[in-house]
Amino acid sequence: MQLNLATALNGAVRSMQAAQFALNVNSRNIARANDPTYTRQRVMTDGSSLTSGPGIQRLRDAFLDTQYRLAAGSEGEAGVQKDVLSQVEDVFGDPVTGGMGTTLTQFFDQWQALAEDPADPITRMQVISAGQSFVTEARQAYSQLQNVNNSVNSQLADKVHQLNDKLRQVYDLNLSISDAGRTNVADADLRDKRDALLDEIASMTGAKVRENADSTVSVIIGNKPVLDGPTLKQLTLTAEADPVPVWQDDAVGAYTGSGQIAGLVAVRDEQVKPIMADLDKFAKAIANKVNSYAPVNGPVDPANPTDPKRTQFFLVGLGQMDIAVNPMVNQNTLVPGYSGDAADGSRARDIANVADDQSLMESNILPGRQLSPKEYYRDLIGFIGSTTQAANSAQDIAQAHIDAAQQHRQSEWGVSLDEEASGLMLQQQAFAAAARVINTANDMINSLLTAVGVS
Amino acid sequence: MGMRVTNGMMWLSAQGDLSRLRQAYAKAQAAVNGHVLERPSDDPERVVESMDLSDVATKLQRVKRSGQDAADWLSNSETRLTSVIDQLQSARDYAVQAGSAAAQNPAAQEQLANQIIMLRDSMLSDMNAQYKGQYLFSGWETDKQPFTATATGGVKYEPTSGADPTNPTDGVISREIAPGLLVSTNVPGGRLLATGDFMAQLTDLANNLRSGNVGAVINDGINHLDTALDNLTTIRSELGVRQNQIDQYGKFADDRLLQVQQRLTDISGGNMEESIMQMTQTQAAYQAALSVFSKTLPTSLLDYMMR
Repeated sequence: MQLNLATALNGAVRSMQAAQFALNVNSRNIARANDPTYTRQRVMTDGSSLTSGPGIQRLRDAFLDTQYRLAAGSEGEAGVQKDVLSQVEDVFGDPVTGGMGTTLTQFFDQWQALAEDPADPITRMQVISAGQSFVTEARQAYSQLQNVNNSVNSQLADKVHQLNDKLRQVYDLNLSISDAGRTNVADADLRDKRDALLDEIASMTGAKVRENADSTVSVIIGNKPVLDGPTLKQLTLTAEADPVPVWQDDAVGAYTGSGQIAGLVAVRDEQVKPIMADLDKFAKAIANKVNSYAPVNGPVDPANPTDPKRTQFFLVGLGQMDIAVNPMVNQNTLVPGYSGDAADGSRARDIANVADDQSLMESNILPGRQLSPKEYYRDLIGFIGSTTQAANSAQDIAQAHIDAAQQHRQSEWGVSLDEEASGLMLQQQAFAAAARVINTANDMINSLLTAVGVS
Repeated sequence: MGMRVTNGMMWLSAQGDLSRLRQAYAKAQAAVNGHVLERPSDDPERVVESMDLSDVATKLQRVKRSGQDAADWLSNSETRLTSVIDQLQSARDYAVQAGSAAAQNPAAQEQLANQIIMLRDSMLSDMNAQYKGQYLFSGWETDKQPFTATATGGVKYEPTSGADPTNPTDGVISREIAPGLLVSTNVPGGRLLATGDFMAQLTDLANNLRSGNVGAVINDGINHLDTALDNLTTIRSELGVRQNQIDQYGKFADDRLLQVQQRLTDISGGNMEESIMQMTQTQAAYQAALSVFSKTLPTSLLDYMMR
């Protein structure tokens, strides 16, 4: 085999080109160093680069992605639950110095005060206003919970919309990304984009991703392949007031994924709704119990003389939390004693004792035994507190997993500026060395030409 | 080969660490401001305990108020009762005088009879006394005047509530002076007349004096008054006992309230010295982390290539 000077020149030019190409890769890595979705690129340094030009390699690892997405699914689910539960907590205010609990205590305490000073018109008015405060707080708590519920539903709609959008984008990217092998720069960017979308889909649904031989990815949500080759399924919400996600055009439509979408549905159906229903039951149980003592002697309606309303302290309707203080109640119609005597507080004392009456109601969220109003409210706050605490620590743990996974990923394919800087020096030296080769070859040709007397 | 450490990793861990330190600092700060338990999830067990405690505190505060009120009722009843007893005692003294030699003439006896009638009328106003617009001796019917004079010079207890002196609960008003402890604060009017209508007896006495029936005055009249006085004095000493009870338990409620509030502060406000120490520590840690990260994060080999 004969090598001549032209071959050397040719090789030097190629190696200068390779150094320039590598410099470009370094430059791109540096430019995107702070982009968390960017995957570090490296020049492919196999022998073929001398014949067919250099290629690049994305330093991505499917195993680390799987780990990260698993954590993202749990974090998404725990995260939304934590957020929603902390809103539920806010509804009940500072449990010690404010909120519904305080008005409940004061309501019964005022009846006790009335029992002891039944003739005092001020005490009577205080009983009525304590009743109004209790009703107001209860209604407010309920309507705030309603707001939380509505916001969960609108977040759910938003997530479903985003999910469909992102699935479609992944579907489109599957078509654009050419098959494996030598990756070009444009492909690398598209793949980064697809991976970022898959991370987000995982956080919303706990999706699993399978990379296929033809460079496309399949997305599996709750064991259901929703994106697989030509198949693309879209999620939709049922028409109920509290909608449930279902897959469109699917024989078994139920959504079985996890992530934020499952978290929102779960926290709504397992926490928010039951707490609302329980609160309604609780307030009505108190109102009906107080009414059962008939502490009011309102004017008789001649058209309806047996109307029980005239003896009721609270008017209780059929709707959710439809409770109000009977407008017939005032300091003259209130009857604190059974005898009707001015200083008879026997009835008021019985009503005050309802606070500790352990047969008031059985809670739905903490079933098992009958509770007094005080016990019930205390248990409710305890339940909300410990549920939220559990959600907080679940989210902390999931966050720790996701942080660790993200650290791994960054370690694997994040850009290290030190490496890129040394890479720059390396390419500079390679470039200088190749130039030196050309220079030397040129010198050699020159001396040859001089020897044969050409110049 | 060791783990690659990239700028992204350093950034991520700096972010995580700073946010954790910031959270600890904020929490310590809230504790200094007295908000350890702002939400049920901060510490469900302690939140529930402090709810119970603040419930007890509300109760104790009402009990304290109600104790003061009960004491006022009792002392008013006692003052009026003492006044009745004193006047009845004076009437008895006049009756005793009627037996003396100096009083053995119609003018002196008329004089004594008039004194007795005056005392009788003044006693009636004590027995119909009011406190805060409510009659003291009307049982539960505190809006009705209890005693009215009869045509024959006696007195009639009008209300039905508190008319039966043999029923210990009839017309009795009670106050809760300590959690669960009820004390009756009034004397139902029926009890004052338990040994008979002493007003009518006084009228009889005066009539007997006027008609010169001194024997009846000295024998039956004084005996009747003694029986009535016994009854009233017994009632008054009961009031005294109850008053003592209220004083005693009022102090109990004060002490207990202090304890409850102390415990409540311990739970929800925390220990101030400890909180301040905690805050200073977390603040120092946070600031140290800030300055370290601000120095190390932007540094790379590139910084040393520039000249």
